[in-house]
Amino acid sequence: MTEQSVQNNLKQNTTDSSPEQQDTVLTEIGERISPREELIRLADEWIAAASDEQEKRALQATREELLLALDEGRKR
Amino acid sequence: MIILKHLIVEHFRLLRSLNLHFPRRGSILIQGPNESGKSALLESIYFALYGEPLNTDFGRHWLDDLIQYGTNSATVTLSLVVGSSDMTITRTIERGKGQRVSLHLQRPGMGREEPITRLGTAHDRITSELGGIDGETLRNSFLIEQKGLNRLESLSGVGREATIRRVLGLENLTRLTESFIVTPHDEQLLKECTERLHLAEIQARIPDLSRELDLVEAALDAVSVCDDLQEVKQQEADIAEQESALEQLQARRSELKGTLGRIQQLKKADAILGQIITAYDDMAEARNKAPELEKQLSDLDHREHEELPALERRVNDLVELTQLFGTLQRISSDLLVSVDTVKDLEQDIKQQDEASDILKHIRKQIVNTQAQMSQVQHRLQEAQEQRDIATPILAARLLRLKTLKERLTALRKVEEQYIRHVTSKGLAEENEAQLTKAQKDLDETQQELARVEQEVKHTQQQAEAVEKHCHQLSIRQQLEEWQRLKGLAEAVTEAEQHVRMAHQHQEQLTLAALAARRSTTKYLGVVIACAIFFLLSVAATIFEAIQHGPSFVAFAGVAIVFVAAGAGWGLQYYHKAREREGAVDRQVQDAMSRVRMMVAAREAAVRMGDNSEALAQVEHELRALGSDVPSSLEEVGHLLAQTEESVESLADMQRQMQEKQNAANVARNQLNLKMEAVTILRKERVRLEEQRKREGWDTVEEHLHADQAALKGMQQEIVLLASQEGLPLPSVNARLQRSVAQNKFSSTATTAMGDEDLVGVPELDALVDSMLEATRRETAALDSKLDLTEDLKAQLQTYQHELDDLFTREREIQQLKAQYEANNPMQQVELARDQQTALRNTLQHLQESLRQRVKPLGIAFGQTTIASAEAAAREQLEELHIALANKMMLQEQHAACITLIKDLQESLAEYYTQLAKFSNSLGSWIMPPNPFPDALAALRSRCQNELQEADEPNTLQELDRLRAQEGACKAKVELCQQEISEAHERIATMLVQRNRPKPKDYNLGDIVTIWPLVAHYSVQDRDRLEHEYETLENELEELEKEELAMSIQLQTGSVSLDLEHARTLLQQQERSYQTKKWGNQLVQAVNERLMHKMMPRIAYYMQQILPLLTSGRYHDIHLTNQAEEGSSSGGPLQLRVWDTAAGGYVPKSAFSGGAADQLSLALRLAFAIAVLPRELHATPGFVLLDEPLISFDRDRVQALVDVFTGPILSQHFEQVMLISHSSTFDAAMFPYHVFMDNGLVVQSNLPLVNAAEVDDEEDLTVRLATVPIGEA
Repeated sequence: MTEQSVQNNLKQNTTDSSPEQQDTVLTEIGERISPREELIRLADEWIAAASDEQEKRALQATREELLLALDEGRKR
Repeated sequence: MIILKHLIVEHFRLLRSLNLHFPRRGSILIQGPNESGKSALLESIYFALYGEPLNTDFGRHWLDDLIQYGTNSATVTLSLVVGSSDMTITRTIERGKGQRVSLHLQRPGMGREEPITRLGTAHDRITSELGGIDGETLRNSFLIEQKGLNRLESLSGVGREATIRRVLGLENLTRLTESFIVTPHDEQLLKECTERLHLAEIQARIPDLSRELDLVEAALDAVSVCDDLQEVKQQEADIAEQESALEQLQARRSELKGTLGRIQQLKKADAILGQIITAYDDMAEARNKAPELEKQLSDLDHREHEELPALERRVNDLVELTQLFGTLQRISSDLLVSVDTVKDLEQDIKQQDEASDILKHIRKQIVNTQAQMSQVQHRLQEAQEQRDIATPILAARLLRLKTLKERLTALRKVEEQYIRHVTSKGLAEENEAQLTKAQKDLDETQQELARVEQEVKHTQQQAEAVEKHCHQLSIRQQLEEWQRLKGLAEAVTEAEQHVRMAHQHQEQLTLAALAARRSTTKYLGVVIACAIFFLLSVAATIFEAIQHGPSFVAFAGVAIVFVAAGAGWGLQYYHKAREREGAVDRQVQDAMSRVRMMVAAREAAVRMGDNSEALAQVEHELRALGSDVPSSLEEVGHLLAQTEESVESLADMQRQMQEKQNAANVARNQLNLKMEAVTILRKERVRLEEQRKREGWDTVEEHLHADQAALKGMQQEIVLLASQEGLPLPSVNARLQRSVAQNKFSSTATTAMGDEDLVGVPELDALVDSMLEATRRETAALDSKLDLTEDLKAQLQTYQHELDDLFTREREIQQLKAQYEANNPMQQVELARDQQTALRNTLQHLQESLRQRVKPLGIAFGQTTIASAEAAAREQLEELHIALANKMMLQEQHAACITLIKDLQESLAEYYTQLAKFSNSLGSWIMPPNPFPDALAALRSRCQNELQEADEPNTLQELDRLRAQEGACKAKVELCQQEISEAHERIATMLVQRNRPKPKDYNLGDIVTIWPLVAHYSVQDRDRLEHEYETLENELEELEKEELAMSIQLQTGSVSLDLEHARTLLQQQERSYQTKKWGNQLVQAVNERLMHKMMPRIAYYMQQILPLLTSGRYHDIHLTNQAEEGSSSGGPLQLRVWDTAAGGYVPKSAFSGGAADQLSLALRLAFAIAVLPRELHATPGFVLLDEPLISFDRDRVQALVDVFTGPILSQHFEQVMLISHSSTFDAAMFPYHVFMDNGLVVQSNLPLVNAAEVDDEEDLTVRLATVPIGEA
């Protein structure tokens, strides 16, 4: 079974995901999941998509707060 | 990563004794026959971690089943490596006493912590150290049992996601979600901060506004000064203009005054000319009047001497005749009086006769009246006697009849009462039946009420029990949370202590390094000194050898040897000192690293544990729940150990509590309905009882008997009274029978009463009424006779009055008659007639005398004629006297005429003189050329023409107008001066208000010198400044109002808020609000995205494992699931495998048992790999498999070995532990193996460890195992 077929099958299994999300999943499929990285990536996506500067700043601060809380929880 | 390190088991299930040191990496095969204790080994690991068996049969002594039969206690000690920490868990079970635990943690560089012996605390700490992986999570992921091989497929989506979250450490994110919820309190805080900032801005703006307002006010004052200065300038210009106009007015007035002087001279000349003309006219008239006056004077002299004496004599004669006629008139009057007196006397004589006749008639009337009075008195006496006899008889009869009437009325009432009682008897029976029915209904309803009350009480008790349980559960949760937070806070404190100790250690090492450096330097100095001395010695030796010979060389050589030895000794110690310095430096570096590590650990602890607000919130919640805040972690552990851990969640308990409360409410409503029904029935019963009591139905029989007795007594009494009056006897019973029959109660009345009477009471009533009426008529007749007596008495009195009148009249007539007899009127008549005759004679003589004297005067006889003649004579005499009196006046007029002529001549001379004076100014034409009237009139006409041309009225008007204008100009000048003075005062006042000195003069230059602001503004700025001032004032007023309102609203009182602080607070609150708002969404989105990613990852790893397990038979799968509420990644997993023979994806159920187990095992292993996070701090590095595949052939065995020992699992897991009872596996296939039998390890190639370490751990185990369970 080739890697391409696996990815095709996986693509079929994730029919409820958006195309962008599916591409992301396929590229990360062999890697372990990192909630921290996921949080950073999603927050960055939202920050990039935010049109308002104030909203960007709020998202940035939220991102930092969440990462801090996540790190504290992991170290605990 | 979590690595299993060491396991010691004593008497745990089938395990008798076990002591295994697990390798840090590698696959371990554990083999043995059935009941050799293989599964117990895994269960002991599970029990050590979570304090519960894998088979959770929660009986009374469920832990006792874990103790080996025949022993009373079991002990399990498990050592693990969690990241960089070591964790040792020892659990001991004593039969019938439960378990005790000892948790020991050792972090790198922090020494060994105090062991945790409380069960709840230890459990929480272990779960926390394992990254939140609880027993359920472990069994869903890294612990694969044969009987739970399908566990993942049967797991719900929510459960699966919970497992994934715990392994990935997303529970922290989930908890973050809870803490990142925007609450109304947050919105309230944000709103309050916004309002406080607004208030602070207002409070900061108000002083600025006040200052701006002051500046604008000062500018307005400056503008006012400019305005006043401009006003002064304007007023001064006005004054100059008015003074110029005043000069012009004065010149014109002088001109008009000259014109007016000429007019006055003309007017005077005209008047003089008029007087001249008048004087000439008066002189002509006086000269004509003088001769006429002289003629009148001569006529008056003539009448005085001839006509006046004759008139005086005639008047005297006529006066005497008039007096005589008066005498004649008086005599005639006396005669007439005498005739009237005679007539009166004759009338008196006639009245005297009439009085005698009247007296006789009155005496006759007196006699008649006395006779009538006697008759009336007799009749009156007879009537009184009749009344005295009949009145008592009639009164007695009337009284008896009234008594009979009353008794009959009373009898009728008693009869009615009797009939009513007979009627009430039926109603009383009906009431009694109703009362009985109501009482019966009441008893039944009360019984139902008691039953419902019992139900309510029972339901309420259940609700209270559930509520109490729910309350305890809430307290337990809060205590657990408090324990966690408190533990974090204490960890922060410990980290601080460790940092302090590390600092102290570093300082000591630093001091030691300094000492080592000093020692090194000292030895280095010694070496250098020795070397220098050696070189100097060598040089000196050579020099001295050349100079002094070999003897000194020997001595110098010895010295050089000593110096070289000293240098060598110093060099040796220097090297040692350098080594020590290097060692100390390394220690210092280590200490610094340790300090940095401790600081990092402290910062991490601070980040994790600095949650005082959450701790305070939990303490507040505890107090709100009525629980005391524990003083220490030991106390909370003790409290948690005291309370039972509920298997039900708080939400379930609250739902149960709500259900119980609803059931209790329903029961209470039913109870209320029953109570209302009881109340209604009680009211009905009370109403019936009150009606019975009010109507007296309880004593109705007694009333009937009493009524019958009263009827009999009254009937007897009435019979007696009727017989006295001769009336027929009444028959009450017959009438009663009719009445009762009409009321349908005839039987009772018939039996009670007899029927011997024939006449009813109504007939007797009629007879009594008729007799009563007759008696009353007789009494009335007697009373009418009494009225006649009164008439007789009145008649008698009338007669008596008439008699009295007759006697009075008789006396009056007798008195009048006596008076006539005393006066003798006949004699008086005779005397009057004689006097009458004498008077007639005298009158006749006097008339004759008068006729003779009248005749010579030439007038007719009569008193009137004489009087007229006398009056005419007197008038003539008076006219003559008047004419004589005018003679003096005429003489005076004549003299006046003469004098007037002389005066006029003198005046004319004077007038001509005055005209001559005016001719100087007016011209010579003013002088008359001659005294003739025409010339004078022409001259006067010219003079008047001149006057008319001069137009005096207009000149005067113009002069008045000029005078008014002059006054107006002067007033205006005064007004302007006053305005200037006021402007100066205003400027001075303004300067004083602005604290400016007094100017030298009130001009712009001097004022600008002392107040430069005035130069910057002009009058044109006023409107702009006023508008600006008004705007600022309004804004200030609005801000002050708003500040007051907001201060009241925010309850800040009179304290001014700091703007920067308020702004900072708002920014913080906004950041917190936005963080919560976005944080919640972010965390949820991350959660969902990770869950979405998990399905393809499981499929990916399964497609790697499945071909290995099935020797390439199956390689392609589909993982699907249905949507599930509360799960973002769907419900339970459904597995479909590509089957080449079937040519499609086949569900797992279509496969044989062995193949299906392979599929499930592949899914479990894929899931265990897929959920591994990138950060492996607290992620299990082991996977435990308990006989995953029961029946398989050799190929499958080899495939399984390939999987367990192959790169896929070893890439992700450090330790793979496989338990199998079969001997199919070759131990050589695995790097490590353990063979067990009868609860003991009979063969093992597991690595051995240091004996000291083992002793240390065993000592720890023994030491902890000796702690009594009661202390745990």
